Order: sequence, then C-alpha cells, then structure tokens
Amino acid sequence: MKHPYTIYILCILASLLFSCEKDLEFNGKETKSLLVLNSFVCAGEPISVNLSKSRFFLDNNEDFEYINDADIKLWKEDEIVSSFTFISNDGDYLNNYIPKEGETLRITASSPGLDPVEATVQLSSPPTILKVDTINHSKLYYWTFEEEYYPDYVEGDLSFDMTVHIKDPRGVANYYRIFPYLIVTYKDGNVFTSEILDIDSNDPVLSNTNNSFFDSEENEGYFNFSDELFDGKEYPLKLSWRLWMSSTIYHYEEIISLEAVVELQELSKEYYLYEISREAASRAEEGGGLFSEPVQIFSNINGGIGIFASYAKTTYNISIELPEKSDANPPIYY
Amino acid sequence: MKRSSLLILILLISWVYSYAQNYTISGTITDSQSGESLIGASSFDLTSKKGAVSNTYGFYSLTIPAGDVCLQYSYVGCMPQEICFDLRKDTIINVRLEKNAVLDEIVVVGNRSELGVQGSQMGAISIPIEQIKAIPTLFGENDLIKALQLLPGVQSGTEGFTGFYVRGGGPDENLFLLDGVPLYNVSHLGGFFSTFNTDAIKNVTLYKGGFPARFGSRLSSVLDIRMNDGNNKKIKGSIGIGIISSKINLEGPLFSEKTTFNVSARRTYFDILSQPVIKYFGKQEGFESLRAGYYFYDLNAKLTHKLSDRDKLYLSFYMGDDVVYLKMREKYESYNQGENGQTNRYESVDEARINLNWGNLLTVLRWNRILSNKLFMNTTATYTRYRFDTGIGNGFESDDPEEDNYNIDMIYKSGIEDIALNLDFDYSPNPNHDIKFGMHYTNHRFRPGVSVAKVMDGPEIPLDTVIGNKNILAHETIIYAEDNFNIGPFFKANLGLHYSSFLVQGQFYHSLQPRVSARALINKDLSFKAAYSYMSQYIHLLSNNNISLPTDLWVPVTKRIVPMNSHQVSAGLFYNLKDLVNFSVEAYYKSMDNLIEYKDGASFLSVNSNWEDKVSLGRGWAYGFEFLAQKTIGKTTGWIGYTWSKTERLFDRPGQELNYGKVFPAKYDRRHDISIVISHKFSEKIDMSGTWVYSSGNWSTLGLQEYLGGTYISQRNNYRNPDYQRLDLGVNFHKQKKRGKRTWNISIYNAYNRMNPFLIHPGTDTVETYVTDQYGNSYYTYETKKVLKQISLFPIIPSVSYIYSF
Repeated sequence: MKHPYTIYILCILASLLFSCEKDLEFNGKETKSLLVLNSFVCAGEPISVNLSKSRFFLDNNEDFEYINDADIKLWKEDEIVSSFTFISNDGDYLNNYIPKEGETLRITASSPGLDPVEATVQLSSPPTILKVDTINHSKLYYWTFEEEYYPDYVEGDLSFDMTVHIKDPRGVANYYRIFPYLIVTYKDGNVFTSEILDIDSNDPVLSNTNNSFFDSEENEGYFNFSDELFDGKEYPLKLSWRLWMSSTIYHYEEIISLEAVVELQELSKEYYLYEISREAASRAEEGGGLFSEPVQIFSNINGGIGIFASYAKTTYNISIELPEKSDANPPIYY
Repeated sequence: MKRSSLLILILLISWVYSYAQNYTISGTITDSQSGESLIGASSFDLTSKKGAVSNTYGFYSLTIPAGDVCLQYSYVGCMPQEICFDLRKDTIINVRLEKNAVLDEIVVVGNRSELGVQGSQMGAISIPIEQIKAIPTLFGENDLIKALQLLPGVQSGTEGFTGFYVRGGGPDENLFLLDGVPLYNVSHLGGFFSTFNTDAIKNVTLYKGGFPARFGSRLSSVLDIRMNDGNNKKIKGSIGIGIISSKINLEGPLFSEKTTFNVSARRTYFDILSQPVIKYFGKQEGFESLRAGYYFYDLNAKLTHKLSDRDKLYLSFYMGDDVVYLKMREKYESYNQGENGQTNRYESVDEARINLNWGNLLTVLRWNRILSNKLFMNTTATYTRYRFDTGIGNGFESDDPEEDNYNIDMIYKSGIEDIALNLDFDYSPNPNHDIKFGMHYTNHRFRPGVSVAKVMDGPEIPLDTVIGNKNILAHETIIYAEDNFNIGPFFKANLGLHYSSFLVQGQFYHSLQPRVSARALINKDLSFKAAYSYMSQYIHLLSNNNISLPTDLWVPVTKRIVPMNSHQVSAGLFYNLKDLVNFSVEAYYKSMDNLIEYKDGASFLSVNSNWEDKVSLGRGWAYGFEFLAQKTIGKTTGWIGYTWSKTERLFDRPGQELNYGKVFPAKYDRRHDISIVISHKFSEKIDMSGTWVYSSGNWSTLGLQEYLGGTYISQRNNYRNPDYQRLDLGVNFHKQKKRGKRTWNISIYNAYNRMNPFLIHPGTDTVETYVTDQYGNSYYTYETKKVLKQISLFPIIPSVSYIYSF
C-alpha cells in the first residue's frame, strides 16, 4: 500500500464526520407561555410594573408580546390597596399608591389565556453611609476661548479612590448595590447625570462577588454585594473609579459645578438573587455556555416568571472643585 | 468473684481444648501453566465442610480437625483438584491448578468465593479478564472500564466516555486501585479510552456496596485491579495491532523460576501516521516546519521475586501519559538599505509552541511474608502521581540588529502526588474466622495550579516568575480491622471498623466507619445477604460534568469544604444454578452528605485558588435495585444485568442554594439500565461476542421558556434526553501457527447505527423554498426555524485488529 496513513486518516475522519447532528422531537411538557412580571419597588415612589409573555423556546416568533389587557392588583395584608393603570403599549402599568419602608406588599396579575401570577415583597429600608473618604487623582483642565461661539469647557480625567463607610444592621442578611455617578450642572441651569462604568475594587467584599473567568476585570458600573463578611459592623468599603469627561459631550454650555455621587442601595434578597443570577447567565452566555453550568435566573413570581423586588437608596454627594480657567492650548489626548 | 473467674477459666480451657486437635493447612494456590497466584481460589474440606479462600496473593490458611481430610481446591476456569490425607500436623500444601478455559459444565465445582452465594460479601462483582477482552469495543480497543460500565449499578455517563457513576455517586467517588495503589486519572483522550491495558491485568473486582473495612477513602465504589505477576515457566507474549494503537506484552521467568517479569506497553500512532500530511499542509501554508499531534501511551511493568517459601517481593510500575504537541516555525527574509547604500539581507525566525502533557506514574514496592501458617503480612511502599502540565511558548529571532529577539514560555502545572506506606495482615486463627487488619499512611501533595512564566528578552538575564498556589500538604491515616466469620453453618458475617483521619492546613478531620455485611444461607444454593457501610472521602475532583478534561483537578477538603460521607444499606438474594449461573437481586439505599456541585454559571476553566467560591455543598440520595445473572464458565459466558434506580440532589444550605434549594435529579439519574453481554466459543478457531445496552436518557438543563431579559430554566436537569441503546458485535478468528497463535478480531461498534445523544441543544434550521411569484419570477426563500438538536458522536464503527500470541 503506497499511502497507508492517508487511508487510515480518511477512515478516522470519515467516522468522526459521519457522527452528526440531527433534529430532535421535543417530548417535554413545559410548552405553555407564562406571564412575565417585572417590578422594582422603592419606598416613597409610585410602583410601576411591566408585563409581557414568555414564548416556548421552539416558537419561531422572534418578538415578545407585551400584555396590555392585564388585571393587576396590589395587596396589603389580604386587602386590595389599589389597581394598576395601563399606561403604554409596551406592557407598562402604574399605581398611585406610595409604599412605605418595611411594608409587605403582594401583587397579583392575570390576563386572558395565561395562568395568573402573584408575588410578595417586603420593602427595604435605606442603608446608612457614615462618611466617604476620597483621594482625588483627577487631572482636569478648564479651557477658555476668546471666541464667543466657543463656551468655556472642562475636559480631562476624573479619577477617585473612595472609602465608603457603611453601617450594617446586626443579625440580618443585607444586600447592597453601590455605584458612583457624576452630576454636571451648566450655566444655563441644565443638569446632566453621567454613569461611571470604569469602577474597580480590590475590596474582599466586592471581589468575592465575581465568579467570572472570562471577564473578571469588567463590571457594569456597579457592584452588588452582601454583608456576609461584615454583618453588624461598620465597614470601610474601598473602590476606585475613572471617567474621561468633556463638558461639551453633554451640553454645549459652560459648566459651573461638578458633583460625584455615591449611591448605596439596600436590595431585597429577591432583587440581589435576581441580579447575581442575571449577571452569571450573561457571563455564561458570553463564554459560549460550553464550559459553565447553566444558570437559573432567579424568579419569585409564582405561576409565572420575573421579579417583584424592592430597594431603598441613600446618596452621598462630593463636590469636585473645578480647576482654574486657562487660555493655554489644550493638550492632545489619545 | 471467685465463681466467675472459675467459669472464665473453664470456658477458656474448653475453647483451647476444642481447637487443640486442630491443625492448619496453608500454602499458595497458583496456575500450573503460568505460576500466577490465583485470587479468591477455594480450598474446601469435604469431611469437615470447612473452607477458606485464597487472598490477593494466592495465600490460604485452613485450620481443621485432625484426622482424615479430603481437600478440594477449585477456581473458576480451572480443573478442581482433590487431595485426601490423614492430618496429623500443621501442613503446607502449595497447589497448582490446571487451567482450562472451556470446561465441561459437569465437572465444574461450585463457586465458593466470597462474592457468590456462600460468601458474606455483597455488592461486588468479579469478571474474568478473558471475558473483558472478549467484549467488542470502540475501535477494537479492549477497555476495562467500558466493560464494567455494562454491569448493573454502574452508569457510563456520556456516550463513548469512560465515566464511572456507581449507585448514584459522582465520578470522583470511585477508588481505582492498581495493585493496591490509587490511580487518579483513569482515562485517555478526554475519556474515550481507559488507562488500563488489559494485557497486564490478572484480576478485577468491583465493590459497589458492603465495603469491607480494608477499603475506604471514597464513597461509591472500589475497583481493585491486580496486575499479572508474570509467567514463571517460560517466556510468553503477545503483539496486538489495532486501528488506534498497538501493544506488546512480554512475561516470563528472569534467570530462574524465582524471579518473573511482566511488561506491557501500548501506544497510539495517529500522530506518527499523520505527520507527513501535517508536514505537507505546513509547506503549503509556508511554514519552515510544522509538527503537531496527539498520542497516549501506557507502560505496565512488574517484577516478582520469591525470596523464600515465606517471602516474596514485588515491584510494580505503571506510567501513562497523554501528549498534545504543536510546533510551528516560520522563516522569512527582510531587506533594508545600509548606510553605504548597499542592500542588507536579514533572516528572521518566528516560532510558536504548545505542549500539553498529563498522566499518571505509579510505583509499588511490596513485600509479602508468611509469618506463620495462620498469619500473612503484606508491607507496601508506594508512590503515585498525577500531573497536568501545559506549556505555551513563542519566540522570535532575527539577525537584523534593529529587531528585538525574545522567547516567552508560559507553563501551567497542576496535579497530585502521594507517598504511602501500608501494612496489612491476614490472620486465620480457625476456619470460622478470617481476620484482616492493618494501617495505611499517605502523604498527599496537592498542586492546585501553578503558572510559571519564563521570559528571555534579548541577551539579558532570563526572568522566571511563579504565579499561583503553593503546594498543599495533607496527611491521611487509616486503621482498619475486619473479621469474616461463621456463626453456625448458616450464618456468616463480616464485621469491620475503618478509622480514617486527614490533616490539611491545620484542619483535622477524622471518622470512624462501621462496616457490616452478613449472609444467611437458606439452602446450599440460595442465600440472603444484607450490608451497611459508612464511608468518608477527603478529596474532591473539580471536574466538568460532561467530559474528562485534563484540567480536572483533585483538591483536598478545606475548612469550608468539609469531607463527604455516605451511608449505604443494601440487601439481596443470591442464587447459584447448578454451579453454572449466579443470580443476584440487590436493593440499596445510599445517602450522601457534603457533596459538591458547581454553582450556576461557574466556569470550569477557572480553576484557581478561589475554587471554593464556585461550588456549593449539599446532599444526595440514591436508591434502586439491581438484577444480575452471570455465567463465567462453559462455552457460552456473559451476563444479563438490569438496574432500576433513582438519584436526586438537594442543595439548600443558606447561600449555597442550587435549583432554588429544591430537590433536582442528578445528571446521570437513569431509571432503567439493561445490559446483555454474551460470548460464545464455537470452536478452537472461532468465537463471537455481542453486547446490547439500553438505558433511559441522561438529564439536560434546557431553558424551555424565553422572555424579555432571559431564558427561564424551571429546574436543574429538567429535560430527559432520548433513550440510549447500542449493539456491539465482535468475532475472533484464531489460528495456531508454528510458534504461536494469531487472532484476527473484527468488531462492529453500534451495529445498527443508532444515533445516541451526546449533547442536546436548541438550534436553528434554514428551510429553503423555491417559489414562483405572480409575475412568473422564480426564486428561493429562506426561513429560519427553531429546532431542538441532538449531537451524536459514534455511528456504526467497524474495526479490525490483529493479535499474535506466543
């Protein structure tokens, strides 16, 4: 035989290539669409709800259907507090009841052709920020131009190391979300809020929250965490953030003040579980799902899917001093 | 007080007196042709109806009353031998049994081994190695693990893989002992082939429950594999050539009958045969050189030396590795204009290297000594290692002074290393007691993953950086004692205690594990058995659920991840039909605590120091019943096995909940499992074998509902895959040649080409339709349709192999 290896390889490859993929008939039971209810309740604010319908995973319809004809009620201690009013064709509903801290609320929703759903949540109380220590590494420049049609503008790198001192209640499991953002106020009275996506932390409380291999350096501009490591204590939480800013990005007007805000939210357990499972699902999907366990996105909607959760927030504002105006040529940034 | 003392004295004297007229017959039972010691061979006195079974080294000891005795020695596959004499003193009888592969069914003497009707052991199966070799397999490669997957109570996991799931346990809950030493990685090629070369193996016993006290350290099973000592009469061997690999086995006496050797080696040659093709493609792509390939090999070796009639020395060695390599070298030229206007020519070389290497190494030094005709001692010193090394490198070299030369190598190493010392004793004070006791000490060295970066930047001093975990040392100690004893003619029990301790990073764990196994003989062919075992396990395997990856990592228990333990109760009926077929029906219930599972979304690729954060601790339970009808002698041999089982998990500890803290089925929870294995010898020239397996499908986790923001998974393992079934056939054509025997083997794996599920996943199909519109224009339309897809790995695969034995 002249080329025994060629025949050999062809045989092996042929056997592997013939091993194939085929369509399979689904023989399970869970094919019926479910009502999807999402609502995040904050004490002191009216409650909004979004309702849609899930679809069977083999359903060829690409669009999701919003539910615009639902009957949604809010309950407190087995009594109806109020009904929700339909406000948009995107499945949005609103309630005029203003909930209070510590209240336990139940929501029920029904729509023709779908199983009714219900969920319960206890409203969170705002967390306590004792103080925030900052180290400012920012390099900001405030440029002024002689030409009238150019407004004076702020540009540069905002960079802060922060220590947020949190007071955690003893004996109860607490769940938090922390995120900084920037408030920019312009001479004409306009105020803009800017998200800060580049935040980082080596704090054990926060590094514990990330299970990702692929994108352990990335985040979504906030951290969700629990008090597992500091229950009942005052905890100095460390984080740092950076933002490249240019005042003209938001508004073509002279800037008059800058404020960094640290928002700390107390999340209900349901909210926290929903968030971390959603993030894990997203990471698993990014990694192709082959080398990670499938993720069950948390849901507390009985008879359906979605989340009915609460949060309460506390903010701490830090004023950022604007630099002296200069008419020197701006540096070139890359 | 005086009265009670007198009573004790009288009892003692009467006890001593009752045995004063007894003498002990001891010795070894071996195969007459090869000199191999026979494990579990029976010595039975037809006069007193007392018997004993030879231990792992062929040693037996039988103490019986003086007078006329008629000893019958028997072993499955051998002609029985009877020796009758007047017993007047302690006697040593070394017996050599004549082997006969196909006996007349009439002359077969009953199976009196511990695993059958007569013994107290339950939940254990021994399969003759010849039968394992006869089972048709994938690519014609004999595979011990895949043969055992056909037994009731053992699940194979994913198709084609050597996964081993026993009575609802996980893949890391099995203790694989090669000559008494744990082997950590038992598969090659991602789990397609097992590491055990059947040519080197003498005996295999699988324990699924009713664990004797001498075994421990794992929850679900013990697979006790013993290597051949080597023929002490003449040099024998075999050469096998198959599609995937070739192997050679050589055994025989070394200098004299006192010393024997046995060497077996196996290597795949896909890489060698494919080199010319790879080289060709490399040239086409412009590489100066391109080398790539994959191979695995096994090397088993054993030296046995008989120091005296009482002392024997063994040196066993096993080494097996999987190797993946890739080396690409690209050479190119560059030109530039020199200061004097001349054109300079430079040569540059770019090189990329990948090297993956993983496998086991095992060394055993063993000394057997018959301390007295009732006491046998076994001392063992062992070294075992599993390692996984990855090297990725890149280099650049140029004679252009303006170019920077560099060479970077990233090496990742992980593994486990054990050094152990074992001392075991067999003590047979009288025919009613067979006592085993001993102690084991193991020093574990875990390497959870260390990365080494070697950077050579130009001519400067190389910079080596070590990143990752330090070695973790652990000390495991075991002390055990068991007594296999008779209570009258009908009852027999094995009572034992196994104590183990584990010291790691200042954390000390220990457990006292009672073991009970009892038999009630209903009649000479029918018995009822029951057993209870408590087991603890101090190491975990961090592994992908689906396939065996070399990145699978053994890690010790920690302060947070506590030892796993299990309780198993089982009961069953055992029946022997005319000494030909053994039937057994066993029911079991097993509860397991501190099991680990990966949390939702945890990635298998991220195995590092914080692995503890990626796993949850929970519990599980499994129950079921198993039926086995096994025929190991005669022209037709094989077995029929059926298992009904259920396995579930519950992870509800605060902060570690899986599946909302609710019960979910284990991935390999299969309700029904049937296997039929039959071999038939038509003549000295032809024999055939076939296996058929059917089982319920594994579980998959599917998001069955999609919604805005995600996919809804109602439960972990919420979709039952299609059933699994497969028929394999094999035929051997033997021919006696001048200097040996040649055998052609033709096998067909998956004979009726059943497409079994390896993986199921949601996917899409594109439907093409040819349409003609109202204006007479014809064109294709494409529509995407969502479907559930199944990936199958192995269609019908014929294979052929050639074996020459001499």
